[in-house]
Amino acid sequence: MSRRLLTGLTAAGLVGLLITLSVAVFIHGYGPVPWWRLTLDLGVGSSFLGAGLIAWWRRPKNHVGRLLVAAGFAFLVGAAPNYVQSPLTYTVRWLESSVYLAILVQLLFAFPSGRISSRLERFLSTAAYADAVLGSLSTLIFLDPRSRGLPAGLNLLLLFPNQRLFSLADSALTSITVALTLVIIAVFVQRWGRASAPARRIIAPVGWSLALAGLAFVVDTIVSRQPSVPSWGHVATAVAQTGAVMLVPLGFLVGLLRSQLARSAVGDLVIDLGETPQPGQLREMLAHTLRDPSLKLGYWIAEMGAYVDAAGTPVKLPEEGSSQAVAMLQHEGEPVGVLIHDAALIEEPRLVEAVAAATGLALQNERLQAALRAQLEEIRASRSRIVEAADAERRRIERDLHDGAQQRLVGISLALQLANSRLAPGADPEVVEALKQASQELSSALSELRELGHGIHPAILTEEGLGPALESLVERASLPVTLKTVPTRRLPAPVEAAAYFVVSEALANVAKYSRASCATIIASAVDGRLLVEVSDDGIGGADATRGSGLRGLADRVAALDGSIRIESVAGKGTTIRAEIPCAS
Amino acid sequence: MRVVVADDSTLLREGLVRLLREVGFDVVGQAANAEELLRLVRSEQPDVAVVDIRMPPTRTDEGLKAAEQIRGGSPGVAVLILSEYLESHYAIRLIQSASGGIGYLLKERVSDVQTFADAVRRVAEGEFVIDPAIVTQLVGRRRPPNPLDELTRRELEVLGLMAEGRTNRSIGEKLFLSANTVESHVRNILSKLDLEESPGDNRRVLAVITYLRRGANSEAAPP
Repeated sequence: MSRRLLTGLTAAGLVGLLITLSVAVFIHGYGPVPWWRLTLDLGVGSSFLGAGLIAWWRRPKNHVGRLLVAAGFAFLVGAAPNYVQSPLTYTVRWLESSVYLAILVQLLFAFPSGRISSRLERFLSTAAYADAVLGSLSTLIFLDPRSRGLPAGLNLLLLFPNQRLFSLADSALTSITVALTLVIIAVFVQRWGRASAPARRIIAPVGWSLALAGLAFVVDTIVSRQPSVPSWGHVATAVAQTGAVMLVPLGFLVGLLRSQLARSAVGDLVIDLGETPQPGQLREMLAHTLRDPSLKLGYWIAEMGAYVDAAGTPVKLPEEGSSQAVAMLQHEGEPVGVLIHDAALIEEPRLVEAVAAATGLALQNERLQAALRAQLEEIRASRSRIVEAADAERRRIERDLHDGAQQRLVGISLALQLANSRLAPGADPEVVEALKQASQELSSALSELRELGHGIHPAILTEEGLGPALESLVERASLPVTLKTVPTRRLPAPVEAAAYFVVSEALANVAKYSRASCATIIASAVDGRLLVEVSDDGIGGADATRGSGLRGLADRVAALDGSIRIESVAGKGTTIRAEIPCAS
Repeated sequence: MRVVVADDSTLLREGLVRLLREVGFDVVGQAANAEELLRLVRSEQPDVAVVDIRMPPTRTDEGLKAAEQIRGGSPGVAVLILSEYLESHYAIRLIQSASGGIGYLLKERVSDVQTFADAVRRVAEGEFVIDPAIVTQLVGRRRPPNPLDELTRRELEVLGLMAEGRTNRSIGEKLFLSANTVESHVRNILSKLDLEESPGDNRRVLAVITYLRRGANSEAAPP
């Protein structure tokens, strides 16, 4: 049966009962009780029934709703015989009128989980029922209605009509009831004293409403025994007392819904977790959601086999029976963390479970993201190592060319020159010509080798920096190029190399494809970023994916966390813009 | 003319020494690194030091630094840098460091003993020497509009020799022209390029090289 249907049927039944009761009262008159008493009784009953039904509907698995409904029902049944006088109702009323108070005691101890967990509290709850039923029974068997001016037949359970015994039993019952009440109050106050902040938040409405009702009861009892008080005074205190009693079920309902509200806060938590909080913030968020400032969050460190907090301090798990409880955060069976929370929250197992599940997911997400970031960082680092290694290799090749082949060729050139100068005047002209040709060939070879070395990795870039190297590129360019600005200071070698090769490759592309008449270079280091821009006035329409040159450059720039952009609209020239972080 | 040679390659150094002796220079010392060179220059006070641009320990610009130190500390000693880098930047750096008696020559120029010997003599006489290949690259540089187009063939020739650091006399000797003719060519060139006449021949090379290094657009001066 669905929750709604069940609650609906119960509600309909109870409303029907109320109407029947009211109609019966109207038909039979108010009996010995004035009309305002009826109104108050109906108010108290409705308050319990209404609060109970709402609680039942919102928390169908929790007994609190049903107990409230039962209390309301018991109260109405106990009050009904006031209005309809018959032997059965008289007897039932006598026996039953205190049962709702016993139910209240059970509610008090079972709140908010709906179950009584302590043995003492279970004993007190049972004692309250015994006091209500057996206590009434023990007085009823001695009660002769005639002693109160009523017909003798009203008391169906009258076994030993004896006024003395009745008074004795009644006094004993009153003493027991008062003692029991005091013990119950003491236990409840002790429970309040031990309760943590989140628990108190939930119990508070119950405690305050009961305290108010108790106070009103005491005042009403005292006032009703004062004959000097005018009748409107009696009415006022009775109304006040009944009003206070009407607040009691509302106290239970509010307390119950407060834990319900906490549960809906899990939704907010999930949204907040989506914004990937800092580890320190995460604990604050959880503490807020669970309304437990003492909450601790431990992160599982597999390498240590232990939980640590956001600061890295190991987190100790509470011992069995302490005021704190533990909720494991797991993901696919693997521990990811632990929540150490107030034991009071055990009464909200679903709430803690939901928070733990959401947090576990967030922590796992965080771990995966951290792992991903670490991998990306590793890839980035390895890419920049590859680029740096390639640069170093290019520099080495250029040096080897310079110090090896070029020097040797110059040496040969010198040797040829010396040989030539040793030739006697009038030597074989063919030999002279051969030497001359060899010398010219050597010159061309040296020249080619020099440009090859320059193309591989210009020494001027390493030694003099980006500005002179760009100037050198511009002087060699096959079209007019204006160098507008260059950085005035040296930048890290990988940055200079990347910028240089971006310009070099861009100029090569301009010469090859753009049909431009001129190009402009801007290189400037501002706010820790080097901006390099090569623009031409050519045909545009360059495709960034064409040729491996630009792609290679994009990789090279990306390895330094930089970016490269190409703007090339057909007919409007091409601009290649690279930005490279160069904080040094 | 007394000359010292500094190059870390024994083979090249000895080849240079032999070549210089061959053409009549008095080689009074050899150095394998910048430190030795500076000592040698102090003790020998030669007329010219022929210096490799790349020398130990870092093999970067020790030669350039040594040249700057020599020109600063021993003004009587001229320096000719031998380099394998066709970079006007280095030439400019040298010209700016001294008022004359300094030169930047590509190493391969040793295969043309006349040019090489001429360069050594010219720096000894206090001239600037810029390698013709550098001048050729600068003069041939693409620039629109190109004011060099307005120069006659002969003026262009004279401009190149000016950029190599030659004096009017040296240009006249090279082109077999009278001093007056060279002077009028120089005046024409400077006026066509909108350059101011410098008081001395020596500073003229800086103005000309700077002009030639300037890009397509005159608004930006290169570094």
